[in-house]
Amino acid sequence: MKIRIVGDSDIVALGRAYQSNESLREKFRNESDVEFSKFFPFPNALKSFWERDGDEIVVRKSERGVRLTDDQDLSRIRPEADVVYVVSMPYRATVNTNSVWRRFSPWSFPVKGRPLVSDALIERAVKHNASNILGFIGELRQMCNQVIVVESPPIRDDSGTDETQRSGLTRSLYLNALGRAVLDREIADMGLDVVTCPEDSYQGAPRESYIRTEFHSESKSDKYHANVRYGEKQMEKLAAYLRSAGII
Amino acid sequence: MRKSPTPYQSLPRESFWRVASSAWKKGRFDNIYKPKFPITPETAIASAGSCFAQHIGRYLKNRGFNYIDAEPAPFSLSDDTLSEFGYGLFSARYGNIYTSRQLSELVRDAFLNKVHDEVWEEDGRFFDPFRPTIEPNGFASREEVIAMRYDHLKAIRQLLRKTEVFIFTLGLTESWYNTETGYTYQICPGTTAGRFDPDRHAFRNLDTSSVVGDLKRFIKRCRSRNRDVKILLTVSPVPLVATATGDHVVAATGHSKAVLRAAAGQLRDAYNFVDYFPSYEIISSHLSSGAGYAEDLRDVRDDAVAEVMDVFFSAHGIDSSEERTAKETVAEKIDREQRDLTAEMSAVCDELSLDDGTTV
Repeated sequence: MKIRIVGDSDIVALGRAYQSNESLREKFRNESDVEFSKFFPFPNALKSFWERDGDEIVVRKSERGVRLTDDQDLSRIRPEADVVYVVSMPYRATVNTNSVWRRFSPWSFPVKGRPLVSDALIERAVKHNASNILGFIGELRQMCNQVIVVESPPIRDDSGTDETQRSGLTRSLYLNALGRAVLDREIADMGLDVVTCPEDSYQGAPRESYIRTEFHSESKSDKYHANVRYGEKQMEKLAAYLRSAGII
Repeated sequence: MRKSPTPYQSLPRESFWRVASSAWKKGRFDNIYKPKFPITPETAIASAGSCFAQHIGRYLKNRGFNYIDAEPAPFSLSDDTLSEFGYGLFSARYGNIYTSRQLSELVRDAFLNKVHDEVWEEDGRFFDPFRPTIEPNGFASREEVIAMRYDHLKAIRQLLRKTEVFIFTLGLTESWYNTETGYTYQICPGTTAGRFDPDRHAFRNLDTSSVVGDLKRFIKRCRSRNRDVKILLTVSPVPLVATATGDHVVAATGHSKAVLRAAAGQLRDAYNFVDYFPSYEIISSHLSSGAGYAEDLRDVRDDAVAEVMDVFFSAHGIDSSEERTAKETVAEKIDREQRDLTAEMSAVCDELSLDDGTTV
């Protein structure tokens, strides 16, 4: 069984964890071969980065990121037996990092002088921003027997966003939960399973708290991604899922 | 025998049917609109009204006029999506305002910062009864409806304070209101959202004096905060999609448009800061033989709107569309035509929901 892990920039942590941790590799390797490809780094995914060509999906090279470990040309995805696609989906709501919030407010987090935005419009924006990726996953779903989604890491508490509090949530946690719920529905509508973030990677309740600081990226200039230690936890959870599903 | 002089002998040529109809056939509407006050691309313009007003706003925006959008869209989504959410259709996110009564009540509430707590609930979603179509699937909670309404009223206050010319297109006289609160709805409850309740929802067909009274109250409120604001009235040439009077829809349309036209004329004659732009006549006059209407003889063709707006721009000494087109490249022209076509096909007309499509 071949496992192809494709997706956004969050797969870097997964790929590096896999490369650097032999015991983790053992959990996959006995019966499988694992490859990683960064297909749609943000903000490329806001543009159309793939197209259908007959029974193949062509990922446009100009939009492709760097392959990490695979030695195959994955720019064309064709129907193959014994291949499982694991898509690292940028669940982290894109509207959270949007400069919009310097001029507007979500209705439930009003800031004086900033017009309010309804939840439904925020949800529509999330869906819009994810539309190319959702379309890609939908095509992949039609082509391949096995497609699984991996949730992107919890958000960090040091992203410099406006931290208005309401009902125990900050604005960024609220937007993040709203956005992830939209993507949950979309993925569920496609009949796909999601390997969610490891629960113990959160500071508190899942989706209502930030990622623990020990999982922050080592790079001080990177305020968004998780580190290799997080990647190990998520890969272990993925391996457990694949085993329980009888895939490996 | 020599005829004695009459007042008609010194009238301009367009005062005579024979001359005017001859020019009309050549696409000339000479002096049909003689502006009382100038409008330039720099003039701060706001608009509201029926679906037809959307076209006017769109043309002003496309021409680079200083068209105010007091509630701009926060995200870069498609025009269709933003229209679905009521963004970019008018100068604020009020949706279609079909009647003078609703306009008057809205502006009253805006300046009083008074939000009525009526909210319609349907399948766990919540709708603003006074603009039920601005959220396609409703709001998530009652609190959200109220918060967004406060924000909307604030935007209207800001809009009216900075507007130099407010364009209002009078659409309907027929309206529905809440008998307990007196509030006028945008559209009959139960059509786009909500549930019709015969004990609380009543029909009202505004007469001329009521329309004039509503608009006078609107004007008074606006000018108490913005003493120099000018009002430009138009009447929508779009016929009623349905009438609740029990009359034939064509007769009801004639009645409604006559009332609105008479009210607009009265106000134009009464105030030097109120003017009337005869878009209604340009499209619906029998001199036009219905050519301005689409196949259903109800929707207005975009080329007819373009013709109307050419009259408007030309009267204000602004380049005609012919000159503008001549400057365009072919690609720009195709792009503009596609945009116009899309806009023509999708002018958001909530009133259509009155007709359930039943054929007879």
